[in-house]
Amino acid sequence: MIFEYFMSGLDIVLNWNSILAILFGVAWGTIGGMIPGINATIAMALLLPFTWGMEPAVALMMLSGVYCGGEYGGSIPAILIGTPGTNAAAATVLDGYELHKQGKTGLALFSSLNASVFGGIVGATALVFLAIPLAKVALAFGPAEYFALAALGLTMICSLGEKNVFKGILAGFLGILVSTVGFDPFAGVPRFTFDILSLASGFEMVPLMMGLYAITEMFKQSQAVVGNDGFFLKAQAVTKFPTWKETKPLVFPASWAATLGVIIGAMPGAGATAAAFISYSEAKRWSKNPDSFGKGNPIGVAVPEAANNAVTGGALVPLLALGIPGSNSTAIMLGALMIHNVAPGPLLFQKTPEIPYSIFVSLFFANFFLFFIGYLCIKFAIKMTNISKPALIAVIIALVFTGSFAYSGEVFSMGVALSFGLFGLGMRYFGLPHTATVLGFVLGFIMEANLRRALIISEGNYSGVFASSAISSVLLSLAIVSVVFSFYRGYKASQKSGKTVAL
Amino acid sequence: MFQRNDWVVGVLSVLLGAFVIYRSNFWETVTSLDPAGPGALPVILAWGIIIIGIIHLIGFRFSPKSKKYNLQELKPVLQITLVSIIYILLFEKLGYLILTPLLIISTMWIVQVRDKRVLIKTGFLATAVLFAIFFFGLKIKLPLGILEFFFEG
Repeated sequence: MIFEYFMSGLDIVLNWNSILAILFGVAWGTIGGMIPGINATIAMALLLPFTWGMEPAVALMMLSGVYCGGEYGGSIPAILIGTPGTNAAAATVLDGYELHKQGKTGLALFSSLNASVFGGIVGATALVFLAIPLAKVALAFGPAEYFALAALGLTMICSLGEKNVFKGILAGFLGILVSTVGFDPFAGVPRFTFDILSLASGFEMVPLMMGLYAITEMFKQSQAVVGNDGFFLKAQAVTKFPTWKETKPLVFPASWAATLGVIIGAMPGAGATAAAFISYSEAKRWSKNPDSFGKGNPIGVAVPEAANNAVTGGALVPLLALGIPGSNSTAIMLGALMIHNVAPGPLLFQKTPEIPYSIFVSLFFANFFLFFIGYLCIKFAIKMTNISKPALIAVIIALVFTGSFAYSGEVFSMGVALSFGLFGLGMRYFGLPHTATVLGFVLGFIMEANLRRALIISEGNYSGVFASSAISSVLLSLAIVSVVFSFYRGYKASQKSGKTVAL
Repeated sequence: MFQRNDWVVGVLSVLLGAFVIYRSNFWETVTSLDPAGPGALPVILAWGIIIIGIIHLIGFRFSPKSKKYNLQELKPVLQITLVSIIYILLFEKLGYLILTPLLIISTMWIVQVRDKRVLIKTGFLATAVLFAIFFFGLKIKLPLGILEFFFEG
């Protein structure tokens, strides 16, 4: 049965209209993802009015292509200039930018591309065979389970402080605290808004991340000009395609990261950013050499990229099987379905199976095209970074301000980016890992919202949150073990460097 | 594990935690419909931040002396921040096309570029490219300020 539906979907894809639509979508999405402040969602929203005159399946195939391209495109500026083009690429900055600084630009960029294509294909494959069963798994995740998953992801903050675990935790707590700014979604109470209207909905993720990553880095780079004649020299980056020997160690971590990405993508509200950070966190946790993460480990590039592109397949599961958009981007696709009078849900697979299966097949084509379009974009982007360091600093600052304004339409966002840039510089000086803050900000909202929902459901009974299901119990137990292990590792690291703490 | 300047982290953490606990008193108390309430998570975080702050206030005494910070290194940061603040404040009044080249030129000047041709070329070319991408390509309404009448219609 699945084979028949697959063939009917392939029949729809194999015509010039569909192929060109997918190709255009991938190119548009990749370029959109490369521009900080523009992400897959915005790129899709910009194309939505143009899908009016298209066949429903063709329109959705094009938007799927944009989704694929957009999730990948953000990794290019993340690696080259330390500025994530999309939220999900923030995890790629951690090791990608370090690799670029070490001159291993090609290894970072092409590993990211290979992992993205691989993750996308894994996501598409899972979608073909597992759409309905995955939808059932997604339904098993309620508020308590979401809370436990977010808590597990947050335990990574303990390991980000390296020798000082407390600084990692402090930075993470600051991020979670920042996520509470704005009107409380349950009680409608303004928290930390100080009567500023622009803070009513809290801090926007894009200017915050661009400030913490890009502005902070540009400030740091500008400090290097003091008494440094080497400042004006252009870095020579190695941009050749990685060898099989360099790629082989990435295959296994990318495989399970892609699997994790599909599962997280299938859960409504989780999204590519959460998938990227959670998979990075797990890769670091289970690595034989966890201290190498954040210092230019190619696995730290491959894992979040495989996860965030696998999300494209996973996020289509709740959309097509249940009619529930799994992410902002799939919400746009839901809009496209409604424009074309197509009702998603279980009946879609019964009445018009060729529509969902043509989307599934198109994802394979989209990832195939992504490889070539990504290759061209990399070649172009590398040329852009061969400009002098002072010009790069100035242009990136201008780009961050432009992208921040473009994202929200408010000058306030530019101020947010600048403020968090200064905050990030202060954090660096005092040894606080800003990645933990970003992680806290991303997962903190998911954690709080679902904890409170779970408490409402269990009528204030905390055991209803922590022990209501096997899934939440297992995830929370893993989180506790992870915290204890991080403290142990931090203590061992302090002892090794000859410093003991008399507490 | 600790640095000599961690006492600053300690003091700021304790002050921040105290502030959060104080502010939470102004929010609605818990109800049966929302057992945790809006203040639950911020207060838990505040106590965690205070405890970590105290740990650093104790721990910094056991750290070795670290080298002093070169305040000259802050100068470009402060200058770029000042230029950025002016940029943000005048953004909607003067417009993108006037202010962005000035931002780029002044930032490059701060990081010691003195070739006027390079400054002007980079400032205007980069602005033109960014404007083309965002204003024409992505249809983002960048404020044009006093140049708005050139783009009307």
